[in-house]
Amino acid sequence: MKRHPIIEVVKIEKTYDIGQPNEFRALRGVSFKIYAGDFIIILGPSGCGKSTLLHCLAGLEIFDSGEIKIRGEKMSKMNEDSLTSHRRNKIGMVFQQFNLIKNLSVLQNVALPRMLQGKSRVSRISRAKKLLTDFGLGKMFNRIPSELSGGQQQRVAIARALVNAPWILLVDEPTGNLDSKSAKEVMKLIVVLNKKSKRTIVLVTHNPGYLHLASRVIKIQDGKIVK
Amino acid sequence: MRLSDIILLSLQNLLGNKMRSFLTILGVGVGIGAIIFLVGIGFGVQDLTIKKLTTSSATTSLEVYSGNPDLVKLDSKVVQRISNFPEVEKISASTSLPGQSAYAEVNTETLIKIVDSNYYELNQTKFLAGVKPKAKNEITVSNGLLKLFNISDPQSIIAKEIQLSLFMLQNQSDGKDSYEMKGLVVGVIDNPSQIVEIQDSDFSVSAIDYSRIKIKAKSVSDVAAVQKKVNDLGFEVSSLMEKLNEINRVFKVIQIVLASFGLIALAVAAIGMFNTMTVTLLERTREIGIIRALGARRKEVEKLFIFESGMIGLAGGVMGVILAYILSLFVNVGINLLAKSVGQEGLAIFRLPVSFVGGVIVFSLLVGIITGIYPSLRAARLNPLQALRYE
Repeated sequence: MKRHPIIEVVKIEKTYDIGQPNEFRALRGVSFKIYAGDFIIILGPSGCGKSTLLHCLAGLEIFDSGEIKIRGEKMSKMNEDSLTSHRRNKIGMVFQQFNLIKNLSVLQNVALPRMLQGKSRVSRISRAKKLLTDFGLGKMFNRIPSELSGGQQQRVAIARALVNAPWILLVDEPTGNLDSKSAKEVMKLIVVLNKKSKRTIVLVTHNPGYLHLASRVIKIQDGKIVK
Repeated sequence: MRLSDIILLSLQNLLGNKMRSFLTILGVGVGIGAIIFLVGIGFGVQDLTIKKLTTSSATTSLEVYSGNPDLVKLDSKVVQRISNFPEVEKISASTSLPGQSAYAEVNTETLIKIVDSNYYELNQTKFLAGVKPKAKNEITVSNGLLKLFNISDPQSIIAKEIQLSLFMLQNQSDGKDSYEMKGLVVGVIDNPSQIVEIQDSDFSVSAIDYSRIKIKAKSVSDVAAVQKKVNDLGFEVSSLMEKLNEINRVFKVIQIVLASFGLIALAVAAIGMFNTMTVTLLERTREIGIIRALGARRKEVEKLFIFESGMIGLAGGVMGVILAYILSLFVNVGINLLAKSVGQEGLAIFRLPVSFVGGVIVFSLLVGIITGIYPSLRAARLNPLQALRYE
């Protein structure tokens, strides 16, 4: 049986500040496919265009040419509203900076994407509680993010990315702001999500130490895939 | 995203920075409070003025003048017609004649009124002594007249006789141009002019035209109908209702002027609120980036800000009402103390109609929403990636 990719990236190009003296070609004809259950690590030095690529997949960045197909649907044809809906329903994002909302409790932070979906309070709270408990944060529901360690905050952020049951998890340098112990824990959690829960994951990093965890590695240099 | 969740998030944002939210709300509250306080004084003074002018029965009374006596005469036939109107409860006709009164060797010019039995009631005459006339040749006199007679105690004139001369303005059937009589004083009325009222005597009122008719309508809503009907008969009518409407119009203007002063305070508060919302926007740029990245629509970000500023406006309105109320209590107490110290009766100089208070709170809410429009549009237009990079 032929496998269909969840996401198909076809020769996408992205140039910043076109026509300016600081014009910068971030992506030069990048193509690859993501299948269900993949754990892809995009590796490259800073400034190579790997974050730009991730943001294009998330619909946060508009690429100049080429195409990204999400289960066949062309992203170049999506308007602002469809891109927002894409972010809300189909992808989960994890950032290097955690990006939790400081005035909201841990539980509310995790439930937030479900709130954005318009789900009822009961459904979103019960799901958020389950995820947090699974991640060993069962006692942290009513804390605010600043009361948690970096590793705990990143786990909250991962729970938030998963709360809407996305097709794919996009993870941007998840350990960049963590000490080595917390980093190990977070990476372990991500691996478990892929292996046990069969989550499809695209992870961007400049740290070659994680490569052995991936099912596939895409190396990027100067906006091009080199391997 | 549900509306209740948008409200919840806005509320949480407000509570997240309690001190600043409180100060912003206080600013709006002071502005709204100033409007309410000033206009409240306007309402209070209006009430006082009207209360001094009227009692409940005075608002139903009308006065009829002949206007042009050569064309239409205010005579007993007219009185009969008016009293047959279904809206009329009571009617009193009187005529005023120039005359003289003499008592204890003092002789003075006097206005002599020939009145009927309803006269005292419809004019709400205040008696200083005695009662209204019941028998023939009984009269009442004014305390203004007593002053000329050098009488200070109104009780002392009761049951004394006064010599009266009436001068006819119209030709009588018997050709006399003046009339003499002795009046027995039975009552003293409170009026600074020199007046004598005669209810019944050999002199016939019906023989001459009336100078004035007073009508009491059955209810306030009948006043306009009676006024129109009497106007149609060709007479001039004035009612207290009409005067009250005039007074109310004047007070409307005064209230608008007072409210404009309050609006200046509110404008200052609104600018402060606008500033706060703009600063909040900068402070929360990153947060906006996060929720946009998580899939919040532009409209939802917009609503979050609008609701937040709307809530500041609403809370400011409520606080303004409370501030104005507290201030008014102090002012009322102060004014009453002052009034009592100069021997006046206590009075309330401040009044707040519920509809006005409600209107002001809605107005404050609107000010909040309008103030939030620009920051909310800016927040909604933020590029999520740039917002996420904002430090």
